[in-house]
Amino acid sequence: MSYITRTLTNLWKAGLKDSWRQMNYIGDTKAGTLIGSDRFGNKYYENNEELPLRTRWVDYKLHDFDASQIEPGWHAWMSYAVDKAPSQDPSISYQRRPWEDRDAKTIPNYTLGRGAYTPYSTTKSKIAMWEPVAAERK
Amino acid sequence: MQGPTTSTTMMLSRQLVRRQPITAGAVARIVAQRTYATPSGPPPHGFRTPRPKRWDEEKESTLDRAGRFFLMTEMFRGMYVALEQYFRPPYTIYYPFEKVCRIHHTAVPSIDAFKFDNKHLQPEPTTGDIESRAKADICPAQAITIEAEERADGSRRTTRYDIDMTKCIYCGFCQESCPVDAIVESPNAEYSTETREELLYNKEKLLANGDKWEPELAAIIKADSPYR
Ligand code: SF4
Repeated sequence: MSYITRTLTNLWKAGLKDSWRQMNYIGDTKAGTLIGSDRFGNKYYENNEELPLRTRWVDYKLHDFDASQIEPGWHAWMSYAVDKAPSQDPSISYQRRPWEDRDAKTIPNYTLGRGAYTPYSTTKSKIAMWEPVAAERK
Repeated sequence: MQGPTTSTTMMLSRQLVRRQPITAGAVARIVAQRTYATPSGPPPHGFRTPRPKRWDEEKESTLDRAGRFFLMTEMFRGMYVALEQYFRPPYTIYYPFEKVCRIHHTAVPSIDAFKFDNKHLQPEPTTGDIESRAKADICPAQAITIEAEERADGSRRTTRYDIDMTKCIYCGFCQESCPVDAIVESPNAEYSTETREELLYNKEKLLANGDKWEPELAAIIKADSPYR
């Protein structure tokens, strides 16, 4: 298939609005079936006629997108680890664990920002600092 | 004949001595085996590119050629090829929107099963220590530091579980050596940081990673379980 006809066909299938959005984010026009969306609102698409490893893609909800916004179960599907998407396979779909928040979010990578992780020791120090105590004068 | 063969007589004799001529039978055998590039006939079709046509062999009329020249059809063909490149899909993938197969990823250990620690390890108070030590010792990059101490209830728990991700080579030995899946390599690839410091993971960070990836890791381990 010629490249121009591929683009035009996808533009026709996806519609002008979606194609404009895709050009602004992905930088390519792609048309596929909507497989599902995770609880953050990211939409997941599949089209097996694309080139290998380009057949599954995500349309991020947020403008400030980041790969860590993908939900873990969908992440497995996105990276071709499983055949069935979480919307079709309940064993990898999200289930709230009892200790979790009601609207648990994934933690983005806040590197070099204020939320960045800083290592700290999880144990008590094994050495004690010498604390000088002045004896009272008699 | 011994020694270096540089004497004049030696050189002469070398030039004079001919190899045994190939017998006709041998030639016939080679030709029968390999029909091309032998005297047996012309090379197969497409074996060599054809000779370009000379000016006096062209079939095209002068008018056609003049038309092509003045209408610049070759120019437009070239421009179409250039235009096509604007619409060419890339050879690579558009990363944050598409991802590659997870076995190509380096993976990052996260402590997934610390909460199971109690269940598995309490019957023998020292096991936690031994197994954790085994993980620290198995690491070929010496990336894991583990300390354990006894709790008030008598169970032995790990207090320090540091992994230096700048040292880790993602070999997966720690995952292999742990019988209770207290450490597993997660399929995450978004661990790049701006500073080295952020890669020195402690227990809390690893637990947080494990919390995030547990559902997916559980699915992977479940899929893997028949082969373990
Ligand atoms: S994956 Fe290998 S190098 Fe990394 S912490 Fe585990 S044993 Fe050490």
